Amino acid sequence: MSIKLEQVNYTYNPHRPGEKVALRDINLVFQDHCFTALIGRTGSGKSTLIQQLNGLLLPTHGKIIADDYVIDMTLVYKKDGKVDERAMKKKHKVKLQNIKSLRKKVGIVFQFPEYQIFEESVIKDVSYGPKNFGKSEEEAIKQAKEALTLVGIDESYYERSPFELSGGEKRRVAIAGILAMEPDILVLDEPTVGLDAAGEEKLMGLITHLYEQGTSIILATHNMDVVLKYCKRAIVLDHGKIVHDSTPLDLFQNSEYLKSSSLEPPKVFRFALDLIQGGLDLDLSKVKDTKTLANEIIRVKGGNA
Amino acid sequence: MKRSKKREIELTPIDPKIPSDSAIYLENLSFGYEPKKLNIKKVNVDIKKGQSIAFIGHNGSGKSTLAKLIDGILVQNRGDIYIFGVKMTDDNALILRKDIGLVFQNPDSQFIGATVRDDIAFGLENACVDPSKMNDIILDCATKVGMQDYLDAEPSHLSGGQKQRVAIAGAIARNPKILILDEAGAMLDPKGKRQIRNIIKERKRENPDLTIINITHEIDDAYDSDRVLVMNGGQLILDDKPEVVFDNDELLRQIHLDIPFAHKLAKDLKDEGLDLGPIKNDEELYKKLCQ
Repeated sequence: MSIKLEQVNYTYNPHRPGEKVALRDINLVFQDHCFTALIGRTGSGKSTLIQQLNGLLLPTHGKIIADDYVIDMTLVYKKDGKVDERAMKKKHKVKLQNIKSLRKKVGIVFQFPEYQIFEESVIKDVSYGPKNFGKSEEEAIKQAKEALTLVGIDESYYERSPFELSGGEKRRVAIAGILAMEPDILVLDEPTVGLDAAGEEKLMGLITHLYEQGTSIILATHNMDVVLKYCKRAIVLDHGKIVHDSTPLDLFQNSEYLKSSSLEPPKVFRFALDLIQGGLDLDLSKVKDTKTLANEIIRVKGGNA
Repeated sequence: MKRSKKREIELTPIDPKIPSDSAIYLENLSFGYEPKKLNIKKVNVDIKKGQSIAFIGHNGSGKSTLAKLIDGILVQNRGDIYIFGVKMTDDNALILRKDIGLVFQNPDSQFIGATVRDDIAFGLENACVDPSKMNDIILDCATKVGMQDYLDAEPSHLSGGQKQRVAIAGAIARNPKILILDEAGAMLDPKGKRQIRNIIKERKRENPDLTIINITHEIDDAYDSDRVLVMNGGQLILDDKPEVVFDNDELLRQIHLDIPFAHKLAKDLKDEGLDLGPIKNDEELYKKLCQ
């Protein structure tokens, strides 16, 4: 499925003290089967944007079209051309019909998902979602088992308390809880924060596997190594606006834009740029990590062993 | 097991068995948050005056616990801590701590004041610094971390990196002889990390006697240090120069630590059939590839 955002604006505490505009005129399409990174510093609007995608937050005004599900908060104007505040209020009061059907399709894994765990056993925690979406006990458990197998948690864990697990295991259980709902779009907020190198590689391997199976992936992250290696598209948010939207390669090559932002290409990319300046004729589009860079270097220089 | 806040007493004398150039001396130090489960196991280490030390190790290896023991926030079950040759006891921990500045990981959980000025002043007030001198000290420290234009800013208007710089200003305001950074850059973006690194380098240049303990995941921080101490499962398993420690790829991989970029790329090149021999750092690798 694809999600389209039209002129989406979001303001926290509108017309009250502490009013804060978080999203400004966002126009964006997440195509079916995408692997997209949302980049931006803390407070840039990433998390607010993510929560628009399955109706956890409704746009202050604007429109969200997720296949056949439409959240229409487009501005209503009075005859004199001013915004009809009363009509807008009314719009916001209408209860969303069947929002569950959207939430089932768009699964969000928040930052530190290990804090979202609450059941007494691993299997109960993971089967909670599907049960909540109307599956029978049996079906829910079947889906939970499949999801747990996907994230690499085996049967010996099923009856254990999720709170006894290590940090990395907890995170995988929490992700399984979302996967068990079989979402079409998987949204993850900073999934690799706090994981060591091995944990990060394992988790990204799982996400790539899900992508290859047909799931769309949207990833909010600071981790530029992950953006370069795995993502197909990089969207940069700043102060609630989209300021850049391209492939990771174009983003990291756009030195003028990078200079004006606080972004920095990953080390492997910067080193590849240095090598090119130093005379090696590398193909930057092939460089994803140290392994692919090594391959490029050998293609140009040849081996010696 | 709480430190009693008794009246300030005279410092216990320097222990003659501790080398005179020692800043922090840990002897058979053991600690557990729960009984029977040790998080720090028999650590012995002698950190010399003016050294910069990096503690590395994966999550839960005991790095932060060790820092809290050194600062007297936690009390060990067994073993002894000597700060500049003086054995830490319940009575003198508060006095010894005055020589130690500590900066934690989370920029949001260590900002106490309502403004930058208040926040830096907080530590000074605690240390009973003469109020007439305070303003000068605050301005001086804020300048050192590049926050002099933000003295009246509220924390909510600062970025994570700026908050961390204020935390460092607060830590150096009392002119400590030992500065402990517990993953101070972990939650910052690359620019913020680099700023913190440069501030610390600048402090060190100005005051070569400053002993620095950097608890970090960042290989670059560790590379700048005189010594790298590797923790795993509460034990100190390696203590050597950075180039020696980071040459030990196999061990680092075993304990789930990232290896430095140059080593990683050199290894991948070797696996693919281009052996460049031993590589120390990025510059050397660059030279070998572009010669």
